[in-house]
Amino acid sequence: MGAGSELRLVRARDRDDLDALLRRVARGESEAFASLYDVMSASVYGVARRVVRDPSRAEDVTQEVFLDIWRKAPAFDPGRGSAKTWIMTIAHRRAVDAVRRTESAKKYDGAAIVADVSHDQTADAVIKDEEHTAVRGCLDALTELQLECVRLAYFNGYTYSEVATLLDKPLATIKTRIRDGLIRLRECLEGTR
Amino acid sequence: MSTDVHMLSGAYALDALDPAEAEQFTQHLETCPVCAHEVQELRRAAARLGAVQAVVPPPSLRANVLAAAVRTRQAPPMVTPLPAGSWTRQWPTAWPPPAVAR
Repeated sequence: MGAGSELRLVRARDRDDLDALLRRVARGESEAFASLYDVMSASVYGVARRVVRDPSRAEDVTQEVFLDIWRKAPAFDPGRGSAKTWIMTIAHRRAVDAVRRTESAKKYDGAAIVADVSHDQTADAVIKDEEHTAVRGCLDALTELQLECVRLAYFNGYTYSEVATLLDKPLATIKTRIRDGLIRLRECLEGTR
Repeated sequence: MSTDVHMLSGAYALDALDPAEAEQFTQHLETCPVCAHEVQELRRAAARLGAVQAVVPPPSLRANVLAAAVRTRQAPPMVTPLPAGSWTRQWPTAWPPPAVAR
């Protein structure tokens, strides 16, 4: 096996393990934090790469995310979702913040947003296993517009107003398509657990 | 706020609101358990979408992250305050408990 063998993906059955690991991180156990890094770093770095594109900035984002996890682990509330969801939510938020900081610096360069949309690079190493197949299959269940809305918002880090501008659709339409697209994705994914 | 605000749950779950709207919606979540629950569920789906994009980071990053954590203080846990008067009410009426009659 090649680089893929290094990848460890967190599946539904690992949820308890990851939650337990995070509880140990909350008590300041650095070994648990190292294990958590080993399990989640590829997913965190992967989403950062997709959103910010630049590998060295994606590294910075990944570091910020893991420091957030370390700092905030004691305040993690398992009643509000799994450790994996919590971590990936922080990862996406941080990646989007990094992109928006840059965008606000070149606010009036509207062309930059448009230019970036056409070439949607495939991640360097996309995990090819059952989870990947499941997610891919469920994305296929979305309508073309739902998929486009979710993709531009999640992977390109655009606000829904920016998505509406890019796709030349009313704001209300985009807002609704993002929501019903995600609901459909969730329903499909829950069926694959 | 109008009922239309509920429709923002998807965009909120994907971090696709501008800062002012995100702030407003965060406040809305405090009073709308239906939206809060929906956001949780949609974030779970988004997390799975994000997690399969995995790319192994450069090995040097691991040491940097672990070293930075050593230098970083952790936040205190969230403590749920006890409702007023609950301390006394939670004690058994007789303390210590009466011995079991033999």
